[in-house]
Amino acid sequence: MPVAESPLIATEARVPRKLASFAASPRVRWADRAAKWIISGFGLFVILTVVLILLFVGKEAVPLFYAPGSKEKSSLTMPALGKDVRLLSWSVDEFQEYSYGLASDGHLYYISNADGRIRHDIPIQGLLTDHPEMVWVSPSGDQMIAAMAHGKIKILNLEFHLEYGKEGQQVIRPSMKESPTLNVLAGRPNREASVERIAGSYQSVGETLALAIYFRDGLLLAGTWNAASQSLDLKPVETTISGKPTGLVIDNDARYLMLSTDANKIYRWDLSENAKQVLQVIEPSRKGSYVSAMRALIGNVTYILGYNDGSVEAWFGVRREGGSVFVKVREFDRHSLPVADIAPSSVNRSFWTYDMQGGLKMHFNPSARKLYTFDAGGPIRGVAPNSHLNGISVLGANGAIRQWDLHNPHPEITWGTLFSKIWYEGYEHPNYTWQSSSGSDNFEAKFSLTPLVVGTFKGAFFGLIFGIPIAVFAALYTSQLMTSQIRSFVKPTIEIMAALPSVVIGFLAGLWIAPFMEKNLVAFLLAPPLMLTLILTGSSFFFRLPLKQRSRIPQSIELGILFALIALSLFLAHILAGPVEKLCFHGNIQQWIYDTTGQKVEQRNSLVIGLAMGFAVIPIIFSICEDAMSNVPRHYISGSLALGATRWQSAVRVVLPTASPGIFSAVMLGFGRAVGETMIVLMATGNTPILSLSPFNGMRTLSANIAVEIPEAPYEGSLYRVLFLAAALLFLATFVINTAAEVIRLRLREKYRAL
Amino acid sequence: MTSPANISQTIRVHRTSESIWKRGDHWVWLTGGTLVLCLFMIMIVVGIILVNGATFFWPKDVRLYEMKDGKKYLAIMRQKEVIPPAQARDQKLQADPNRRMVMVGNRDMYSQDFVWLNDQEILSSSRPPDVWVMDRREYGRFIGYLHFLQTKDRKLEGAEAAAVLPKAMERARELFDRIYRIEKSDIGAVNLQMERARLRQRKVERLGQGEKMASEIRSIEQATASLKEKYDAYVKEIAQLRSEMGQDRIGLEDVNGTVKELPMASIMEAWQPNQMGFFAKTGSYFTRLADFLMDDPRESNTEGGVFPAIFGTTLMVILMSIAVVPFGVLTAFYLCEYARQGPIVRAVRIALNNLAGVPSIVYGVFGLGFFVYFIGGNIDRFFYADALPTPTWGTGGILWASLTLALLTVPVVVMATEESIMAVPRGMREGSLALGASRFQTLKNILLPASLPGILTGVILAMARGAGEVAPLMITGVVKLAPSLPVDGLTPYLHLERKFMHLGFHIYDVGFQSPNIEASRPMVFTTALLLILLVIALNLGAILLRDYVRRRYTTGAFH
Repeated sequence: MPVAESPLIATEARVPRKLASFAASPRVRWADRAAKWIISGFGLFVILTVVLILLFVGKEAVPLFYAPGSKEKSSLTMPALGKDVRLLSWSVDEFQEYSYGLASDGHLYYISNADGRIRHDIPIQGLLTDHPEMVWVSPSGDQMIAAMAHGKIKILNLEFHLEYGKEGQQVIRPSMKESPTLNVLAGRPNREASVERIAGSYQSVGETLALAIYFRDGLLLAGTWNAASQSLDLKPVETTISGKPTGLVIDNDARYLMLSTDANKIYRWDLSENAKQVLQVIEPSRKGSYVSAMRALIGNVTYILGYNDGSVEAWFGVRREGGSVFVKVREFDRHSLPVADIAPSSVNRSFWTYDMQGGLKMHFNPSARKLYTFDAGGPIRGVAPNSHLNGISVLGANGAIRQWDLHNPHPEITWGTLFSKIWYEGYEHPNYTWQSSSGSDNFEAKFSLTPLVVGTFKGAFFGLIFGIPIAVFAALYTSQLMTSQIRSFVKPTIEIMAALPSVVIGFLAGLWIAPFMEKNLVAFLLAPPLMLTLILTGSSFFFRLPLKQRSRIPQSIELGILFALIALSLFLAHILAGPVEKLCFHGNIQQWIYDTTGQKVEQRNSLVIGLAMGFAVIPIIFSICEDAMSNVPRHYISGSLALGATRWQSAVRVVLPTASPGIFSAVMLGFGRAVGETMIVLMATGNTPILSLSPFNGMRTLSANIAVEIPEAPYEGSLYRVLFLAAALLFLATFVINTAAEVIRLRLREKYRAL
Repeated sequence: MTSPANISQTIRVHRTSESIWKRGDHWVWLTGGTLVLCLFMIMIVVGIILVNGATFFWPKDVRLYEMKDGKKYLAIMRQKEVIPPAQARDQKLQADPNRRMVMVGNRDMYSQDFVWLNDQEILSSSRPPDVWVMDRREYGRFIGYLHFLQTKDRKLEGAEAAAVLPKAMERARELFDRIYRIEKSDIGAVNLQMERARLRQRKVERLGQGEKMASEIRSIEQATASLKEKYDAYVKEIAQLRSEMGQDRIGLEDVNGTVKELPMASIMEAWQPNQMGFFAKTGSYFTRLADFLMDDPRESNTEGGVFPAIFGTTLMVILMSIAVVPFGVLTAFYLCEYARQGPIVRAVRIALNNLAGVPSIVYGVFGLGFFVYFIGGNIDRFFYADALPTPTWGTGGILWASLTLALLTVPVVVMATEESIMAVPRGMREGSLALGASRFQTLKNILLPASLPGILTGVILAMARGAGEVAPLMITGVVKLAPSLPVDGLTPYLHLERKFMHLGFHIYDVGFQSPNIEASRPMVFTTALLLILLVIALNLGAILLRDYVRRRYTTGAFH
């Protein structure tokens, strides 16, 4: 076979070299050679491009799954601060220029992360005599609440100014604003106890900071501090608490207050209604352990609980009958020692947990992914992630400062978040959800591809069940049962159908078919059976005519009759729709479907998609089928007819099996087109990414999702890469389908060649 | 060994009692029915677009509806339907009443362009002869009466005003066009030069030093100052023209007698449909059709013309063809003539066939990542660093969109070219080689001319595909409203980095993203009609060309 295909090469090879060179002048030979190189170059270039597309689309998606990278940046030693002076908090600025903290002598010390020296030392007036005993610092490190003896507190606001020095280098200058010293025990003269726990809200709502203070003698105060009016409004929360508190969290609106104790209890109050009322008391652990650390993640919905047995869990409030209930949502990679504390990030839902001996882990909440495990080499005093998420500074109890550079741009992506059910904040149970963005800063991005994949196949399915029978039968009729005169008109018409831009089909489907079908749903459902009945009745009459008369009727008339029958059945469907709807569906089929199946009938539903997508795939399937059927050797059919088979019998028993490879490949190609179709789905569905198989609502497909979301996706962000992943999946799916179609076609062709 | 009696019995059985089902006669009609259904659907789709799209500009009669409750509407009929039974029940109407949607226009006076009228509520309907319909630059269409016409020195009313109206409109339009020209091209040029001067200054400040830098900056500042002067002169001229334009005013009166005064220049087109005969209507139809084809869009694309979209589509298709033809054709020649036939070439062919089936959005994603962000981003970094962070090439543009579509259509061109090269009879090729021609000479003198129609078919098919494709363009450079065309009178004349408008995207945008969908829907039909006419014309051309090629070689003497 190869020899017969390329006789030229064979012939040329046999020409003696000398003769060839004799025949051509140098210029011709040069041109010949140049042409060969140029043409081959172009050819190979295009082929390379093909490979490039696949590689590039894949390459953009792959970083989603990279293991997080880290590098230990420096290991410094804490400079001596003075006798009995220790740091009460530990934070780092966004550029990781300084690690800083409030010390027990009332100074703010800023330690250079480069050389470990103290760069700035800001003494705080009110704290120099009344030394602070305990400090709460926000995850972003810009807000501190310092508590002194006798119930006095001070609120500090820290800022960093980016300036440029003489030689143009960046200089970061810290500054600080302090509130007056406030006495929270004013008017409570008998209280002398010191502060046990203190908590503030992560973000101020307007000028208001929420805060809560727990005193060693059991007094719990919660309320707000307004920076503008310099007013403090704290109310006691009166509850008997069993055990020693291990964690205290108040949310931004000063509404929900949570306190965990070492008696395996979590108390949850709703402060908005009645400050005295405990909303819920939870015993989080069933294993005899207790919560040893508790913090909220950004957004104040999800709480991270660390236990004294080393396990780490996420909990949040879920709406249930009778109000909000605090439930466990997921577990994270556990420590082997009791969890000492938790350091949440101020920008996303990542957080660090560390245990008593310096084991340090970073987790990400919805994905439950463990990103890093470090060993600080001993007990840890403070952990400070920076707000660019690319560094962490750890202060050890022995005074060692260790820093790591981090690189994990897509912590929220795992195969789990992409394809399995995830329980997101605000949902009542785990779900497949796609919601990539929202107006809120604290938004939890949800990247489940499952509803999109299901939507893609759902759309293709409805398109194909409408398209395949029509296209295959029409092709059979065109190739086997039609005169060539009419065929020469039909085929270009179908080719024009193939050329209609999908944006036009989608537009018609969305703005014309969808509202039309909404009004005439019954007629649409009645039309197919009516067509079938009318055509069958018509053919019963027609084929009862004597053969002589029948054969005198030209085929165009036959088709004309069919046309009239179809038009008539549509008309009848329209006429009958009203009475049928009244009779069978109580006058409103949409309501009837809703009542019987609980399924709301949307205007832009899968039936509309089926029609429009069917319209788009019919010409593709038709053309390839028709080609395959026309290529069935004429003598097969002649033989069959000669043996007494009717036209139809030979078409079905001879042509269909012989052409089946082609039909199969046509169907597969139609499927490929339906899977990748974008504009029709974009325009003719509601584009809601819900997971539903009902024909009466819409869908969002992978392709439409890409088209809608990628213009808004930040370059190289998670959404951008997830969309590239979706594109790569589409590419692979169609590639596999097409190649499979081609291979199976070749194999089946071999089989039927023996026929 | 059957006896003759048996045979005759068999035959009889065959003829009579075998059912129609078994013979398959029913099936013949059923399959025929599916084909007819296909054709029926094509007719419906093309028919709907044709009817809705082609009649949009026909000046329809305006009717005066007087309702039972005393309200009056001057309106153009849009559609009629049976009131849904549930709604009819709620409103206590009798069985199966009709209602009609009519266009009342005058968006500036009423809140909505369209109202639904129940047929039972209509007391009378008439055709007042002196009604005007006017297309305005703002607030959509006006339907009502002409109340007065105010020029510099006099005020006309009634028939006099109507007589002067065309002339007044002509004058206003001239002034408007002059202002438009100054704003668009003259001020545009000044702005562009100023922007370039600014970027040059930034570059000088970044790279230069010492005295040379100071003198360069001084000269740039001088140039900027003179540009500013020019700009001010233009602004002054515009102000003067505007005040001149503002002297002509028109008073419009709606059906309730409310009079609204507008500047003459806000009227684009005016006609009196109820007085027009068939020919007058035809004339008006073509005027408005021409406006539609030649004008810029107004009111966020829901009115005005689609000229930038037509221009953008055409230019994009041309750029795409320039990119796709050499690559597609040379690849086909490589595969047919130069590559050693073997498993690799077979694999490449399968890959190319497969590529034709890869969803277009995937190409778009590739184009965005590779052309826009990777190549464009790097061009910006190296050559347009002064304009950063505003991207020049690192954002969607007509070049990137064209290249993306070129990739998408490469398989189309390769396959069509291959088919036509294969169709060239072997004898022609062998004859050429036997006469001593080199392989390249054979290719150039025999194969290329012979396969040219086939190549052309491929290119036309690729163009049709490119013109109708929208999804990949949406993410590589098409916008809802482009501020300027990619070609203009400012150097370098062809601005390949600019974003552009596209007919297909226009359909999607106006049809699905527009706030006033009822008003803009007919326009979308017209755009769709334009697009499918373009695509169908290209496809028909390709089909005819292909048939010509096939006939030429099947009757060829060499075969």
